[in-house]
Amino acid sequence: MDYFYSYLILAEIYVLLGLSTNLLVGVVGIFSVSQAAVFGVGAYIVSDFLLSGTLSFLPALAVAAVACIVLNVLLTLPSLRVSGDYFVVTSFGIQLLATAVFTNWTGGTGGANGLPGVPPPDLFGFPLEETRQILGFTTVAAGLGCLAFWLAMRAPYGRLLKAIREDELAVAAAGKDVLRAKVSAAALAGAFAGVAGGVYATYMSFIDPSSFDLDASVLLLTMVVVGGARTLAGSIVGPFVLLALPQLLQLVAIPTTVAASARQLLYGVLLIAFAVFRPQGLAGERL
Amino acid sequence: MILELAGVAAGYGSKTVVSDLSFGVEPGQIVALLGHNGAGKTTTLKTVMGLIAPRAGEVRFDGQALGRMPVAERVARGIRLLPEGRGIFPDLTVAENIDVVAARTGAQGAMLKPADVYALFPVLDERRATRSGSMSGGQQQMLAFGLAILGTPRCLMLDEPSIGLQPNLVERLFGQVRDVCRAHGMAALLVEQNVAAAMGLADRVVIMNNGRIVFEGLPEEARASNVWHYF
Amino acid sequence: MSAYLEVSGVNQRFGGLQALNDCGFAIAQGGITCMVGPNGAGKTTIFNVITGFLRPDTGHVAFRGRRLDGLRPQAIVAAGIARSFQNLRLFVDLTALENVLIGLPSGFGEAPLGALFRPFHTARLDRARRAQAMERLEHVGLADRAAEKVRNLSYGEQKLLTVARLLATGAELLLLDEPASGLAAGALDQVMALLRRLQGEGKTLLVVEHNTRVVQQIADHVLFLHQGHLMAEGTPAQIIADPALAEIYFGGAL
Repeated sequence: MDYFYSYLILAEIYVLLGLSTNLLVGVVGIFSVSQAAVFGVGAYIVSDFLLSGTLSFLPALAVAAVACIVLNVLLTLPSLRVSGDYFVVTSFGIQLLATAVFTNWTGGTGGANGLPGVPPPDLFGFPLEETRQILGFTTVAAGLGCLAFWLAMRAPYGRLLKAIREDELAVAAAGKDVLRAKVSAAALAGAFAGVAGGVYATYMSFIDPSSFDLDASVLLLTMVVVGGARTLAGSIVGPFVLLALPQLLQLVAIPTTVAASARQLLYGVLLIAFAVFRPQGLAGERL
Repeated sequence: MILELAGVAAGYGSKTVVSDLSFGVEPGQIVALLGHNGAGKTTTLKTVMGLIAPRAGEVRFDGQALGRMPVAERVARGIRLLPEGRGIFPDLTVAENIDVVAARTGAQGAMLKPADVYALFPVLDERRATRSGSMSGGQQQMLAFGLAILGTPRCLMLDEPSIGLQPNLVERLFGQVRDVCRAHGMAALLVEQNVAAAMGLADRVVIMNNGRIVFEGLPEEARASNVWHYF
Repeated sequence: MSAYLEVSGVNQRFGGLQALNDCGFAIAQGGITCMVGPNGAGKTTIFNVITGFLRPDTGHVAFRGRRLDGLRPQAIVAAGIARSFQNLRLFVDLTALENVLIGLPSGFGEAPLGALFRPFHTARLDRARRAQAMERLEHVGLADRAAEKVRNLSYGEQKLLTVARLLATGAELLLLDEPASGLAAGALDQVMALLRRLQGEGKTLLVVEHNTRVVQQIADHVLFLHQGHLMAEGTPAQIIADPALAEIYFGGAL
């Protein structure tokens, strides 16, 4: 049963990341391949505060969210100058840079060895040690994230972001501030990723750079493509389906040594298959 | 008949846009395909070009049913479409656009060559080294037309070629279409909203309404008929 | 007294091409001014300069006596000038109504904090905005197409929709780039009637148009642009009768 709970917890954390990526890539059309880097920064900030005992969980999470808002806005700024393919390249570079920092800055991140022993999350002094308690917490967090995404999308704000994805110039000609809208979307996406990072670190109690590398960013994009762009349902379905697959793989008797590569292979095949045969994903629209 | 449609129906998704289309174009002939916006004219041209597959009926070219022949093969046989909007490569220069298309369309005998295009539109000659996407809308339209007639297709389909062109250029362009048709036996199928100009140019007129043909005949018959309430 | 819109001494080079060459003209309030001229004469470029999408190398644009130098496009819309595009630039995956909603001046719920923390207020105000947008659609005769995605509208309907989106901005000076091109006679008459109605409602229109019949029927004043410079101006009859202009532009009767 714990096994199933842990699947649910992880999937809910990835729902927050899926919302973040969908908002940026699906809704606004800023094709970022560095969302895992922002996720990582959130995770390391919360871990460092908890390990050093400087802040408790919720304040640490708030600091991580703010830091990731600022970071994501900075990372997205190049999209205002360079568009399309060039931004993807820029974003790719940012992700590689982040992985390098995570791996080498041993003082803050523990380097390649990672940070073990991150304390479990606590709410106002009550530590959430039971898996079911944590599941309750992540369910509330993911639920709030979904509510925020839903409210934003049905408001004039969501409409404005979708219009920007289609034609920035026409939005400017209609008298709208494109810059402000893009920056605010990046901020919102940053907050989601930062919170997801903090929750992830405290649940796993161990983090290392492999969770925040390019593969992880591509996994987030795959979730958006498989789930479906621009819809709340797509952002939820994607993580649940993709995280279920490795579990299913374990039912097939394959040696653990090839399990990781088998998983990557499966993700890659899915990404291609969906892009070609079902670009609207399971429950969304075309990217 | 160089081009013949027999009972053609076509559409997008679950929607059938045109149905029961039957008409033909002879070599050297200019047929104007007229109708209000949304009547199905562009869909008809796309079906002939192979960009959409017919749901019923048959498109024949030079006596041969085209079936599901790919677009490139249709082009190689001499069917050409000047699409609505601009059929150019915006990141290439004017000269590159022309060279790319000229290289694909051969240069035997009396066929129209790059020099003929530059002679027709001197402004393209002046702008050979300009990135074509940075030219004005009308100039891009001239280039698109120039690309469409390179190598002299056997059947040229023009989708609203006059959009955005200054009046005297529209005259020149239509005159050029007529000359090429007369001199080289090219057939032309012209979709145009400038009805007066199109009727002056065409040998035959086909009028569509809501995806069906409501009139086919000579321009003078069209003028005398009661089909104009469709516009 | 200064003119309603005044363009003076504008020069704009693109690489080796002098797109605008000491371009200057003025237009009066309340009229329909048509701008004609050969392809590449700089008509769309001057639109881009007036609406802040291009900063000219030299020269000024003044609106109601106020210089617009260096203002960003959204500031110019706020000042009361809005434009449409030759290639429409509608949001084709949004509905007709949503396109008009984007045109309306910014309101509550267009920034994330309002949308997230005052959802009911946002929804209430958005309902009011939808009603407003619906009025604009009715104005151009598209009310029954409000919920349709733009990609499913006919070309004529899309052209009308660009005018509705333009109207939504509330701008008083409307710059229209070829609003009638590619329209069948019926739709053409509809667009011309709409433009005249807008004039009657107090809008001022500057229209780029190649269709001589349209120019004759709607223009109070015609500006003739050639090689980036104002070559002539006058009434439609004066411009069309000018043999020099006929030579470079109009040609024989079409």
